[in-house]
Amino acid sequence: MACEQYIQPDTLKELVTGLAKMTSDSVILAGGTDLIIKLRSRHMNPDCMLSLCRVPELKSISESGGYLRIGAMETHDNIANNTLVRKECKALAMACSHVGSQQVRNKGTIGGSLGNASVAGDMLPVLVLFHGLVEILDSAGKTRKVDAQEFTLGIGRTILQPQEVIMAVWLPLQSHRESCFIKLGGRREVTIAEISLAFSWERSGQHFHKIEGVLGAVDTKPIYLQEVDEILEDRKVGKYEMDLLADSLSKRIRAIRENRKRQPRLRIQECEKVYKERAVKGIVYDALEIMMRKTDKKSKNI
Amino acid sequence: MIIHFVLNGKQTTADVQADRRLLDFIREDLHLTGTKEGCGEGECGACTVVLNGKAIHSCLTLTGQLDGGELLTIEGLEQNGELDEIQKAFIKKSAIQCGFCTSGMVMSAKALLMENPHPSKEEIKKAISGNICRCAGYREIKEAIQLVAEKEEE
Repeated sequence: MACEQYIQPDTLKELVTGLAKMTSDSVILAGGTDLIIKLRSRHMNPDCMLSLCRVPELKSISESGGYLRIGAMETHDNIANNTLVRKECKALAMACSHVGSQQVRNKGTIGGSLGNASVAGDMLPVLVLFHGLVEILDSAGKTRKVDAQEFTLGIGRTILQPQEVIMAVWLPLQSHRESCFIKLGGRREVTIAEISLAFSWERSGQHFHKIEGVLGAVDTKPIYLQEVDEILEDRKVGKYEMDLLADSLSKRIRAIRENRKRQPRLRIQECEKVYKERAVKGIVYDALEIMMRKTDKKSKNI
Repeated sequence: MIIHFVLNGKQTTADVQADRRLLDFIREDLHLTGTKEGCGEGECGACTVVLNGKAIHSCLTLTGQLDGGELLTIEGLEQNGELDEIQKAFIKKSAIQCGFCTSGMVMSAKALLMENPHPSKEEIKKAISGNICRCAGYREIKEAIQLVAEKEEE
């Protein structure tokens, strides 16, 4: 790996100037935890690398006009430990606290994760759950905001143009709502999601209202789950509801497998093909158990 | 590219190739070979160093990103000829066998204790979950970190 030009702007103005030099062969360096592996394993030599680590405007978590604004260069560790995020968007804090290892969380950023657009990424499902926006800066210095749901186009592809960069993500503040995120991977820590599930809800007594859910890592994009509210709305959740939801998600995952045109690159066994549609039951149980726990919003344990 | 940074407590300026891995810069240019390369893709944690108070993979960091930062490598732990408490604890608890993972493991522990001097067992486990040891075993390593955490409590 070698790049012809390495640009590391110190200010927003320099960043805009730098963006103008980017071509379709250029890369943007956020934390580097995905990019450096990609460049080395594919022997890529980009013509230009734009490093974002010194631009102060890309770092900060603040409240602004009914939204929580998180700078693109905020690390997973910072987000996971931020009081405002933990209070307002617990699902995001939960997701961030289980990305990779401590070293990855210290360096990996929310903007980098979104830009990398891995289908197993943990950030996008949460953003979709909260109906978040992605703020994009271009080489003219203009910004625009797009719906998180529209940001990703598929595996590793986003709507970002070569001369654009993610500035921040915006999440609407909804203090009356609670949320959670959970993922299933091959191991407990340092694991990549095989299935991820995020819920948000309003609580009254033992009942839930206006429940929203997003399923991640099973298709090329996160899936918004319309059926969650139909199944759980105003009900006391028991085994019947849990199984109903698990069945429904299992059917969804089966449909994705059956409709897949591209054959899997790896040779996988018959039982592995149906793994996710069976394993989803466990993660539904786990997520609903978290929901049913009467949580203190200030609780430190996530 | 000219970068300014603090290396193990000492203000340093260097003319570097910004797109080179920090790991290569540390080992080949600074000749600090205590930092090891294991997998080279952020899985094993052998290359862990502390940058701005946080444990990071030097194999997934570019040298340009070091500009303005404060870097602590395993060589920076020893003060006036005396090993750091964590190093002493690793020796006392026999938390070393082949030693390849040790510098990364120690640096992860150092970053944890810098931020949280009295971590719980769970916090210790989580902090070193990105460091893989294939011989001595994690029990002794966890005990060594625990020893320092408890010592500082006294």
